[in-house]
Amino acid sequence: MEPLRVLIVDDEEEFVNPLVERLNLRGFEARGVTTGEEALRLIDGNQFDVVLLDVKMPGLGGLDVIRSIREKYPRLQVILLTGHTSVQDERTGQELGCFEYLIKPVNIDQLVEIFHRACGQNRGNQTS
Amino acid sequence: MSPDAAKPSSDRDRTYFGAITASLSHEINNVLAIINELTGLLSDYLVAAAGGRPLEPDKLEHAIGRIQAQLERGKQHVQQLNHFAHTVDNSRQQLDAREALDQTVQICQRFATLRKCRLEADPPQGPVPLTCCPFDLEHVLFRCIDAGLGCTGTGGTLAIRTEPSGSGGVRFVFEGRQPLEDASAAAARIAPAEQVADSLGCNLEVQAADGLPLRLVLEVPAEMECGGSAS
Repeated sequence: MEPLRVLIVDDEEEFVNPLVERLNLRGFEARGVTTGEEALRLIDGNQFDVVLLDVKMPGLGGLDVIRSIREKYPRLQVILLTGHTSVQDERTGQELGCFEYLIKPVNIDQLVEIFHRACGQNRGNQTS
Repeated sequence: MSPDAAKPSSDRDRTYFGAITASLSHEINNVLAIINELTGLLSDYLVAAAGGRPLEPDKLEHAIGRIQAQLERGKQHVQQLNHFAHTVDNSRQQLDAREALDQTVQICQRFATLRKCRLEADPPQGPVPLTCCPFDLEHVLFRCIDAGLGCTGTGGTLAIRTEPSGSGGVRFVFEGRQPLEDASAAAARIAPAEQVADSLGCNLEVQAADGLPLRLVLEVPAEMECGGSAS
């Protein structure tokens, strides 16, 4: 079976790099970027099965990014991750169809299980 | 007028408290998340080594160095949160206005980063004594910085100067480095700062016109009672 293709989006590079390495060690095909703008560019040109998206970022925030993803790639699974326990952000994320809303820090085994669950039905943002 | 400007002062105090504690706790959560990933990565290396893959000392050293850097970052955020908590200890005390500004600027750096702006403070050489409530002083400074950042476009800079005022108090000058594009939108962003300054007996002079850089001049009297009665 093909490895799951995961995109990690967080403005904290020090968070993105080790997480990408840990996911790759677990058999994922993970890539990481530090802005919402980069994420949208990468999604446009590549296949991903799931996106892990930080809510609060300079420039395009996670909620802006998920809105754009929903317009172009409605089947792509998005998991929101944040250091903020904002009820309003969580509600908005759910209204925009995020698969899960997670609070940092997250256990890697839990994250892996959520990725598999999120991709249980659909694979790939480019599939119709 | 922004929604916050219309609120009574106790509500404005609460929104200030919420903004600061949410921002600092968010930063601390980020630090914890990074340490969680870096220690997890070290653990993954050990598991891989137990399976026969040789340990790479350079990678271990690199991860440990990053953990130490995050511990230092976390310590600074905890100190900022602790400082903020202690601003309510005394309703009236003598303090150095430079330190109050420095603390507020440090706390506001994330607000600037989120707006892709730069925040620069140029403190004077000597101490700037003031008698006031530290919570109130940092609150009004925060409101001015927040208003200034809100009016500063992406990539812009907000610079802050501190100087003595003629009345024996202190003047804080907040200046944008680029021209304002929408003065009417700026007025709404500045309104909460004006309300807080007014309620604390401070004077906030606003220069916000299309095509000119934003300039806010906050005059704090030498002695300011807690909750605002200037003496």
